[in-house]
Formats: sequence, C-alpha cells, structure tokens
Amino acid sequence: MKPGRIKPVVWCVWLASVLTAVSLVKNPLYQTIIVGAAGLVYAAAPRRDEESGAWGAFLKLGLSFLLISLVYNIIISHHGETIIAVLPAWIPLIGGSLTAEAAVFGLVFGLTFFTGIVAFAAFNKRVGPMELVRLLPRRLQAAATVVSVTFNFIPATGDAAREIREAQLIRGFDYGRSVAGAVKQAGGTITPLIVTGLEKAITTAESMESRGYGSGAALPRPERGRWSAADVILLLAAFVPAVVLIAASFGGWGNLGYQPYPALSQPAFQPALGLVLCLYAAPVAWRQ
Amino acid sequence: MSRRIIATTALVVAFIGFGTAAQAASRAGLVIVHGDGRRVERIVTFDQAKLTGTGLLRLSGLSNSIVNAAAGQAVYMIDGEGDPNGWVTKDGRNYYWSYFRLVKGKWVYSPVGAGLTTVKNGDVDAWVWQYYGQNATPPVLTFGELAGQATAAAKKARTRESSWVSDYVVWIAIAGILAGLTLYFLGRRPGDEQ
Repeated sequence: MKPGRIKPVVWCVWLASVLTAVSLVKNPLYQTIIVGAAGLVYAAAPRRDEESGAWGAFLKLGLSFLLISLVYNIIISHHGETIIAVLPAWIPLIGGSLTAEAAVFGLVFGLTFFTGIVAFAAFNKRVGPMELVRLLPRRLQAAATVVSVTFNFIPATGDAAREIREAQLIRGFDYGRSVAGAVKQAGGTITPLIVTGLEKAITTAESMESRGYGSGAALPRPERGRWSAADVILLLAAFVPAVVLIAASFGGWGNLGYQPYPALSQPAFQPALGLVLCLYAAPVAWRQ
Repeated sequence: MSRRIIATTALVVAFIGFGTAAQAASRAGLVIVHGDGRRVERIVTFDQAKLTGTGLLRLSGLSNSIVNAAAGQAVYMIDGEGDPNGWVTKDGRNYYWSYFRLVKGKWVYSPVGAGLTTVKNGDVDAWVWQYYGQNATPPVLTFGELAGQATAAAKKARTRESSWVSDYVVWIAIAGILAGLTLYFLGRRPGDEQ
C-alpha cells in the first residue's frame, strides 16, 4: 500500500470505536487484544524524539496505575475463594486473606484505564491538535481550541520537565538514582515546571488573541481532499468492531463481561470476535 | 537363542493381556427419577465383579444418604431429594425412594433392600421418588441405551474441551503476533521508517 495521509476524521472514528470497546469489554482476553492493537498502532507511528519521550512517560504513568489498581485491590478486597496469602488480621484495613480473584478484578479494572491511555497516546501521535480544531464546525472552534490546548498539555509538560532536568544536570545537580533522590528531584522540578507552564499558558493566550481567537473570525479551512481507498477501509475497520461489540452487548452474546468473584473461572473467548477486534490494528498497514 | 526370545516375548505379551483382561472393569446402569420428573442417568464403573445396589449408588457420585436400619440399609436421600434423617411426609402422603431392577427388559420392584441385591456387569438399577401407593415406574432404558448416551455425552464433553483449547490457542496466537509486532516497532530507532 502506498504511503498516504489518513484523514483525521478516520482517526477520530478509530479513537471513538476503541473507547466504546474499552467501556463495553470487561473480559481480560478481549481486553488484551484491544490494548495490544492500540499499542501496536502507537508503536508503529513515526517516531519523533521530542514527542515519544513525553508520551512514553505518560504510558509509564498508565502502567503504574494498572499496577496500583492490581496491588490495591489485592490488599483491600478480601473476597474470593482462591487464597494466595494471608496477612495477620490485627493489621487494620489490609489484614486478612489475599485472593487471586481480587488480583484478577484489579487487573481487569486497571486494563480498562490503561487501554484508554494507550488509545489516546496512539491517536495523538497520528493527529495534530490543529487538525482536530479544523475538523470541527466553526461554532465549535472555540471549544475545540481549548480541547487542543488540553491535548497538547501532556507532551508540552513532558518536554518542559525534560528540559528542566537537563538544565539542572548541566548545572551540576545530581540527585542520584535512589528513591530518596527521585523524590528530591521531583521536588526540585515541580516549582520550575509550574512557572514554565504558567509562562507557556500566557504565551498561548497572547498568541491566540493575536490570531483573533474569540473575535468570531474563522480559522482557515483545510483543503477538502478526496477520500482514498485507505481512508474508506480504515473507517470500516474502525466501525465494524464497535458495531459488533454494541450488538453483542445488547444481544447478550460474545461473553464481553467477566466476573472473577466468588471463585476464579476460565474467561470465555470466541475466536471470531477476537479476530474482529484485531481490526483496531489495521492502521498499521498504512504508514504516514 | 532367538526361539527363547520369541517365547519370552510371547509369554510377557500373554501375561500382560491376561492381566489386562482380568482387570477389566464392570459397568452397570443407574436411573434416578426425581419427584418433578427430572431424570438422572449414569453408567457406573466398578473394579469388582459384583456389588450391592447401595454400593452402586455410592459409586455413582450422586449425593446420597444411606443409613443402616434394623431391616438392612435404608436410602433416604438421593441427589439432593429427600430427607437424610428419614421418610418425608407431605400433604398426608409418605414419600420415599422406591428401588427397581431391570429384569429381561422390564422394571421389577425389588422385593429386598438395595443392600442385599447383587449388581453385575450390564445390570441396570433405578430409584424413583414417589409416595406409597403411587405405583410409578421408571421409563425402560436398557444398559445399551444408557451406555450409548454416556458415550455420546463423554464425546460431547471432549469436543467442548477440545474447542476450548483451540479457542485459547487462537487467543495466544493473536496476542503473540500483536506483542511481537509492537516490540518490533518499538525497537526501531527514530528515522528508521524513512
């Protein structure tokens, strides 16, 4: 397939479809396929050093949420029949049996959150904020600008944090590699990060005002290029899983849900549905 | 020399064959008819040549309550129906588990308790939950029919198990391909794709 530019609207449908799947599917076997497909789309996006660092850190944050959800549920929820360890009952709140059911429940919950983050990261690597703003009707452009600035916040903050850290290293600040050093480094980075963030916010506001933001003037519309075969195929590839999942959810088939309590059981898996979910990885076939 | 080897081998084979034949398990059928008409059928396998009716019930895997009464062994509860402590009286009627044996293709109400009967390979026993005077009999099912149903059920279970394994193989393949491709793309250096 010839390299081409996939329309931003196709990416919007892709993101909406993945988020629909994330909200409907609670079966860990299907969840791993969705997160795998979204992760593949993220990994296959053209790499740019200045962005990948920020989104990489964001994904690490999502992964840490996944682990926190797992550990938190194990030590707080004592329900379930498969006991893997027992903490002394005299320990307040966490004392009691630690069960495999609680671990799986925490994993399923964490995967839901993590898949959403991976999908957003993949989407943002493929679609620029201005492309999103231009996609919306003129009446919604004010709101869209705010959304695009919000989208930009994560990579911009990541860049700023990296610059501050580099500047500190050049000036001889070395906090070491220990946990205490990491805490000290975080403390030393937060203040300049907030100051830099405020400065950037003021610069953004000034530049928006100078470009007529709020005056009612319309942004230049993008050229309405023709839809390529890739656009149509990817649009269908994004639509189909969502339609199938919604039908499965209303029809009560496909085993989208999974309940590990009271005793662990094998989650059901339908290969046909699993292959349908692989369509989320279809954008990998088209390199931008 | 070679004759000795052939003879020894033949003896060993014969011994193994004989041993296997001697250890061939016996099988007997069991039909349980609940008060609501629900039917439970089992083919019970046992090592010995014969056993009692209560022995067959114990080996069936169905929950039961068999107590030693003055007149022999009494069966109060089978597969969750009945009262483990005695007969059940409801609406002025006394309900109990009635015991039947299949003789020449017909059910015969056993004149003796299940602790005194002899069950051999190919026999079929039945238990019906009914009240005194109801005179209900179980549906006629030969050992061959029961064994055929059991084989079909086992085959279906094996098919389900095999289908479950193949489903998971598909999932492992999908997850493996996605993970492998992701690692491949993550391993690229910036600019590799150009």
